[in-house]
Amino acid sequence: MARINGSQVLAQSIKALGIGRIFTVRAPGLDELVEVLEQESGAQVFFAHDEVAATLMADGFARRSRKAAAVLTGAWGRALAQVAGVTNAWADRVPLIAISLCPDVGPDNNRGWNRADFDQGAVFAPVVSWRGRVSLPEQIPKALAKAVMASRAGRMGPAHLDICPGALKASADEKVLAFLLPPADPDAVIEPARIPADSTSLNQAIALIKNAKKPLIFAGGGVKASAASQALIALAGDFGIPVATSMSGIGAIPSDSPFCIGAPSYTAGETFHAAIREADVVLAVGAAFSGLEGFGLPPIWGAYIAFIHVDNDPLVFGVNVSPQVCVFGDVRTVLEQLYQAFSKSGFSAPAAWKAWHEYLMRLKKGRKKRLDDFAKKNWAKPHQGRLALAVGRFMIEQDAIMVIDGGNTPLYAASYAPGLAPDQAFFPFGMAALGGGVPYAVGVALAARGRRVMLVTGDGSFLYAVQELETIRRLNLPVTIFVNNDSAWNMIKAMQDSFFECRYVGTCIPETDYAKIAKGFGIPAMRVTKAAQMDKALEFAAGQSGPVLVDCVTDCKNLPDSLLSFTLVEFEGSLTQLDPKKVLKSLWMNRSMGLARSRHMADYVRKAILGINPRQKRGL
Amino acid sequence: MEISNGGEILVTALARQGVKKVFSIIGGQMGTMYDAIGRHPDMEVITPRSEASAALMACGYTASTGEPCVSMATVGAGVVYETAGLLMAWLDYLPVLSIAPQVQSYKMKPHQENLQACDQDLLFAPFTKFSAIGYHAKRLPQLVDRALREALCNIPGPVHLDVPVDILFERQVLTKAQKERLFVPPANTRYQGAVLPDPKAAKRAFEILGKAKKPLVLVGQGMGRPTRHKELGSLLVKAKIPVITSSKSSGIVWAAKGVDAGPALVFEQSPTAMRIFNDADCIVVLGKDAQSAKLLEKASLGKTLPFVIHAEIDPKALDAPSKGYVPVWGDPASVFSSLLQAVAQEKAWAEKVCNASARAAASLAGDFAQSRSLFDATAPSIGANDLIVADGPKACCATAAFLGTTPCQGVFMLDGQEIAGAGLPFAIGAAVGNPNSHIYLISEQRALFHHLREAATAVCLGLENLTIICPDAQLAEPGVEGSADTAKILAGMGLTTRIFEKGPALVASVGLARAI
Ligand SMILES: Cc1ncc(C[n+]2csc(CCOP(=O)(O)OP(=O)(O)O)c2C)c(N)n1
Ligand SMILES: [Mg+2]
Repeated sequence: MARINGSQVLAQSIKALGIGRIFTVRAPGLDELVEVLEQESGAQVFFAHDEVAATLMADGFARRSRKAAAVLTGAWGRALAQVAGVTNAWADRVPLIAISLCPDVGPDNNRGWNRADFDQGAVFAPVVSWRGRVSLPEQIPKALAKAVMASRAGRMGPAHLDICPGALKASADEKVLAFLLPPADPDAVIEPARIPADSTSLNQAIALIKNAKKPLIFAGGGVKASAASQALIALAGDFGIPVATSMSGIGAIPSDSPFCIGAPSYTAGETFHAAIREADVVLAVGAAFSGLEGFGLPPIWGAYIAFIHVDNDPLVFGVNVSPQVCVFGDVRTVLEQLYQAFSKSGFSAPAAWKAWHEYLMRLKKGRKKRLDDFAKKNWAKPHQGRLALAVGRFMIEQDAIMVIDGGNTPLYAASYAPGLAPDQAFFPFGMAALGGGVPYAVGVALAARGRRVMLVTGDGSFLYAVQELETIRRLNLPVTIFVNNDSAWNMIKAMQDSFFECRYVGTCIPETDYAKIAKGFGIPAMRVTKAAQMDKALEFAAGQSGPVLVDCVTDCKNLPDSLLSFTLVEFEGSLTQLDPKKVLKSLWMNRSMGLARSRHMADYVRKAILGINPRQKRGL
Repeated sequence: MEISNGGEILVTALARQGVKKVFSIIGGQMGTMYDAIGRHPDMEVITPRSEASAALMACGYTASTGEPCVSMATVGAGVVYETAGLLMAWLDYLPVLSIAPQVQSYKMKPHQENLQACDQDLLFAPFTKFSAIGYHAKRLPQLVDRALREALCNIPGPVHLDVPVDILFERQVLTKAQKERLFVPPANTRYQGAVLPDPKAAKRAFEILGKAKKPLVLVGQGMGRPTRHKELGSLLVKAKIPVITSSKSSGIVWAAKGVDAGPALVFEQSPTAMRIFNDADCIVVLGKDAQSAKLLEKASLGKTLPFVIHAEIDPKALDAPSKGYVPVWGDPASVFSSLLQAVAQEKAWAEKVCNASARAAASLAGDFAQSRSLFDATAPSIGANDLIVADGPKACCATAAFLGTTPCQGVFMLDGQEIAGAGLPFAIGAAVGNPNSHIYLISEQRALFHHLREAATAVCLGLENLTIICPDAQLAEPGVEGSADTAKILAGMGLTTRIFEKGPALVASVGLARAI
């Protein structure tokens, strides 16, 4: 019987499971394995400069392509560098496969004298769907197959596998490969199990919706995971039900579609607040009602909403909101079932629905006008909204895919974005972690070969993985980077403005020329300091076939108005604990933001937070 | 009466314990802590460009100053970046205090799908000495004391504190008396006194070492760098016994003639050096770590062991006494102090070991051997007060080989086996902690790229006491499209760069490079 070593077993397992892309970093102890994988696994191998970035690249690739992707790194620090990317994948339910080498001696000695022998896999425990460890080549096929299966079950999530270096060097009987199925297609899209809903819960849901006066569909990230956008648009459009999306549901329905209430979550301002406060029946599809969504509870949500919760993971039912009806099943399949049931019964939207829809659309229109007018005012430095509008135009002209990174920057990008397709905007919404931008741009560009990828990033976030500009340059990826250069960790600086008497600690970033940094990497770049230069910059960017960067200098005194909602939800009562005298003083000191900005914010408080909208026009 | 809050109480407790630097990127939940730091005259936040480097900077600061410091990252999002960096503190025995906010205490455990949240305390538990949650604002000073004691006592290491945001923001109205009670004078969290060895074991060790003609000292983690590293070093120099240092205790007898027998890394890799090691008839092991243990194991393969005297502050690290093996429970400095008078080695032995090691190091320096002239040119500018950080195995060997006779304040061998590319952030931490020293970072290019962004941080901080030397820098080949040019990249980030023709090597610094 022929014998093969562990590296070869791993290569064959990867091939059998159809893991077509591997992201890694060259490292001592790993190079030999990578060489075997390049030759025998059938996977494409991509090299990053740092393991944090490699993991995020794999995550980005998996998000956009919905195909299998893995990250592979060495042990210790190189393994723990995966944690950031793995956690993003965990929070956003991405079936990422994370593989690392691990200390060879085994965790039984953990907390003994030898600190190098720590329980590496345990670090991942809180943030993975499954984790395992192999020390013999024979164990590899089964463990990897289990990792892949676990990562795709139900709501999906990352799996982490530790491999002892000894297991790669040891040899095994070729028979161990008999466990594996014939090679899977590495380019196959990971399809969720298309489980239909049972008729009882479906009928209950239909009855509840039909009786509603102000129905609302609330679409979460699960809609995208299930590729259910078409079904969602059809149901909403043909039967006249308005749709709001959660932050991770961005693009589940294009924001400019006539039944979408606008941008995702609070970035839709008063429209979103009104929708979730006033709706009487909410059909929640693929949404988790996490903390950011205020758990689906008052005071953010209306107190008397009847929820219908559709999800492919029964464990989320009743955890936060308590739904009237729970529908277990694949999101797309259930939406299609609902559509069929409605159309079979010849249903058409009652007058109350139409009035409700028109009301929300009026709010949407008003908000858009307010935002656009404000951004286009004659500001000294280009307004972030202006940048976002320009970027949106670029996106349409170039048919680009957007990757977002930053604090305020994503809020601007979301508020002003044109109608997005479900696979056209990427940000790690669950963790809201900075620094994914550059690596996600790499992963997304590799997944969407040929399409232009546009990274819109805050200045603070941009440098997290700046070394990978070399990777972008080396692979000559069509990535256009727009830096919102406000010389600040601005989302947090805003907090010091409002509550801490404008005492800036660790929130100012010294003026930095990001165009110069890009040029250092051999990437053409341009710096914009005035709104009038914006068109020229877009032209310049459009003229490049490879990577390009536009460094846009903006004013840190500007804030996205929806930041207020996010802050209130995140901090709950904590802000009321601050010394009121200091808060008042802060407000007074903030008068330097000027009348226009103050009025803009006050408008938001009135319309969105307090919900004071022209009710008389509602006709309800 | 004074209005305060949990965050301010925490920061005051840190300041009271002498913590001066906090390496951190802010998050909203850290608002009250940051504000308190901003108002405290002795404290400062140093902001890197990723939380991973915050922890590594903290490592560099602590390792080079002996003072504990804080690495702080925001809930979830920041913490997950920090883990990889904080692992270095665990592996390198450094007392870094990691602090992170958490979501509200009433919904943090177990995890409940809060934005950014995860079970952070569990994330840190496998590689910290202590990972706790502060549920009570007025108890935070007590918790800080406990955490620092854990970090500093015995063998140092990192500790972690999670504090929920509602506790950090919670209003605390304190009377003067309450305040005094809350912030009692600093507790003695830094017990670094001696743990004296059992006289019987010490006596046996004394007899054995006294008979040895070819003794060697192998320092593993020693006792953890920040505590009694210097004291142990001067004892070893006094004994004039050849000392091999594992990477974790590098520089403990730096450039001491006839004493500094080079890094364990060299012996690990070079068979000729290993032959000398095998010649020894008595090995004194002071605080073993993974690397020194491996070396010992390698030495003992297939031959009868020489005598091994093994001193540890942690009795768990000792083996049972056996023929030729003398375990001594006690702190390595005290143990060695009791052995000092015993050393009576053969005359030329120490020199022989040191020379063999230096030769082996030179041969292992690989491509770096070509840049020998660069090292020769650098050596004269290195002052007694300066620090050297070497990143990557070749850089470590080259530093040992070519700068091994240049005395300086401290040398840090980051051999890249466990943590990759820590050099740049580590050197920045050292530069922040030692404003009167010049820091020479000798880094392999691969290593430098891991945390390349921090070059921009060095510029932002105006760290003119940092010079980056990259002996194998990849420079653009003229006419080759797309070949990365490290010099141009660093220049783009605002550093002053110079190509050293004879390498070619790259020298970069903030402002004007120190003359090389
Ligand atoms: C990894 C990580 N660290 C810290 C934070 C906390 N944080 C949220 S927004 C923000 C500021 C981001 O600054 P920048 O990228 O410049 O974007 P801006 O808000 O200025 O648009 C910070 C530090 C985070 N979310 N993730
Ligand atoms: Mg910014």
